[in-house]
Amino acid sequence: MNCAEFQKALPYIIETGGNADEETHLKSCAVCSDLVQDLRYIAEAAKLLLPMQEPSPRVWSGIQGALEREGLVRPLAGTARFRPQAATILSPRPWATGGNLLAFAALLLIAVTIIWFRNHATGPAMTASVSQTVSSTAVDDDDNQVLSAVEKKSPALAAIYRENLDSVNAYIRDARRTVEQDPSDMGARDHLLRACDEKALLYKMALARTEQ
Amino acid sequence: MAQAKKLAAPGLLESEAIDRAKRGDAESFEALYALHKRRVYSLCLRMTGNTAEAEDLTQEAFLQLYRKIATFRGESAFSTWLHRLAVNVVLMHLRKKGLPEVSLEESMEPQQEDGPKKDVGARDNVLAGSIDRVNLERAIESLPPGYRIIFVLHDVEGYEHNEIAEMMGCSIGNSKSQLHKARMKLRDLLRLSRAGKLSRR
Amino acid sequence: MVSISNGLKWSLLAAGFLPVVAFAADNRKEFRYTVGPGASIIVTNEAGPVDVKGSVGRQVVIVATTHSDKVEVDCDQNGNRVQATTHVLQRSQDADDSRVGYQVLVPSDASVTVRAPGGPITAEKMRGDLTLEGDAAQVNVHDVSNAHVHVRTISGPVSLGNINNGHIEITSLSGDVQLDAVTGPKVSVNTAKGSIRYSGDFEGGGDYLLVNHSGNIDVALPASASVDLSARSISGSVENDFPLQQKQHPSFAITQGRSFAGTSNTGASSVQLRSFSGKIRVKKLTH
Repeated sequence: MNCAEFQKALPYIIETGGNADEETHLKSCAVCSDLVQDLRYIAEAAKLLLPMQEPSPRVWSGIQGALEREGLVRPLAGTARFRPQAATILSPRPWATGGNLLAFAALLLIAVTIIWFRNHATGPAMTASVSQTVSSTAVDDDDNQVLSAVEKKSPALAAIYRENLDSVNAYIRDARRTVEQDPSDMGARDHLLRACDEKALLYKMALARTEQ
Repeated sequence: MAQAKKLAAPGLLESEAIDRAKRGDAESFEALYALHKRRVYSLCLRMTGNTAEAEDLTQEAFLQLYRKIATFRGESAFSTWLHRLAVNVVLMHLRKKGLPEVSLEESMEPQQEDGPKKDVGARDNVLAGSIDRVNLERAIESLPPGYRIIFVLHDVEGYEHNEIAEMMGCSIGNSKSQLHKARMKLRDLLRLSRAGKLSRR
Repeated sequence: MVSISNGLKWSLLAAGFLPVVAFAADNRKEFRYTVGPGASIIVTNEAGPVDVKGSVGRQVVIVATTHSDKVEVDCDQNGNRVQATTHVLQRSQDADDSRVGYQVLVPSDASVTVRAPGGPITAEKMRGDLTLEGDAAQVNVHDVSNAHVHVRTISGPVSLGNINNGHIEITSLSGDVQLDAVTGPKVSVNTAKGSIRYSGDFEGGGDYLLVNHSGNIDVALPASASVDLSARSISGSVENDFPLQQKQHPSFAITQGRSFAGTSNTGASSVQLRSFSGKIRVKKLTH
């Protein structure tokens, strides 16, 4: 058996093993042996690839919006509130510097808002802690940090970011007020989610500028 | 059920989240998404090689899941069910785009460019131990779409050839042949990458 | 890869038309690569235009024009991915110093990502996926088919024209968005205060969703359009000048001046127009 014949059969024997001739060739041919070793190594390495990538927050926003529009979701009455994301995100964490801070702030904003309007959607009064979080100035401080960071790296864009931060904050305020008045208004909740999404986009793009 | 032991989040078993999601509980939907999003997204990203597409397909896969969740009876693990659904979403999308999945007129002869050099000369060092995850991910991303799909389904995600053949509408032999070509292509890419690194030292 | 440096100043000097100092630093570089199907091209450019055009063949040609020695262009290929990045070596008072103009010719099936805060960004004649990100950049996309098109701007206006069978997602905080003859299984536009204008027939049985906070949403469609259309402005207003078979909506009550819903022909495509406080106007196209 020569190399060409062995390699022709290789796709069909690499996992299960070959016949006597094929095994003999493999043992005696350094080129084919190296080839098989490499291919097996690649296959093994691939198995160890973990799902490391995380989709952006907009994916969940899109799913959530569609679920509500299609009427597939409703909160269950009388069940214990479940907030794994909140527990993780709202627990005290050391402040990171620079870009990590911006990314954290964007995620915090979205998480806080989603938790906030879930409270409203089920009717009970806001808990003191959530109310405090929503009405706190933490968001404003983060906005200022974003703007300072952009100003340092791209002064030309800082004015644009400032103006648009004001716009999107106004959007969030308007939508939030409407949801407060009528928690069953799915359209208003959708607007609130989108507004948060847009703010998160602004943060994300600001982060990209500061990393350039 | 095997998945009954898995936690969707602190204090919530996956099986409970599934039951609640069937009744429209919003928080359970979110918990299931949080539990499975990385795997689904990574699958979509590896198969398409494009983040925008992968995000859209991830969204579509979860929406289809939620629309069909009432029909899940627990005959298989939930993650398996979701995974298969995601694969089908990606494959349907690729079919609509007209991208080649598997060549149906696969030649059984080894292609010249796929074979290693048979000439006499010093043997190249084998790859074992020299590949890191980042290089492998990049190389997979660089594969032609048809090769990439088969490689991701078989070597990364662990589907068998008979399953791949059924999903892709090809023969088992074709699946094996395409997988072999994908691995050969990866071998070339990884060797080039390693050679590039060595020359920069 | 071929790299050619072209000093403009010498040609201009030879022509004797212009002083040396104005164009001393203009420098044009060309990079060429060969790629396979499904290639990925990424361009990152802080300031300056990026023009992307699809073509036949498997060549990627990147022409980068710099105007000073305070920037550097880095291009490389790794397998089927080509990346071009502008590096600003030294910040200067003159904004032109960091400007780089890119002209990029790619196989039409390639996926292209452009991050160009200053812009403008143009993409045309493509069948591969496009991800275009510009802060203040004007973004123009036309003649694209069977592709995912994702556009994100902060204030840059966005214009899409002649897009078929597209999967479109546009987010702009304050940029105006204009869509002409844009159809596909999914078309989604979100702005905060930007206005949204759509002109076309919403063809293809897709899902069209146009949402903003306070800008206007103007839609013009022909009588032949087959749509299931709903419009709602929470605190703004809606006007309809298009014949619809009216119906109730499952998610909101129909309120005169604030919302309406109905179908036209077979109602094949779902069209949802939502504004928080803007004005939504739907008109019949007459041509």
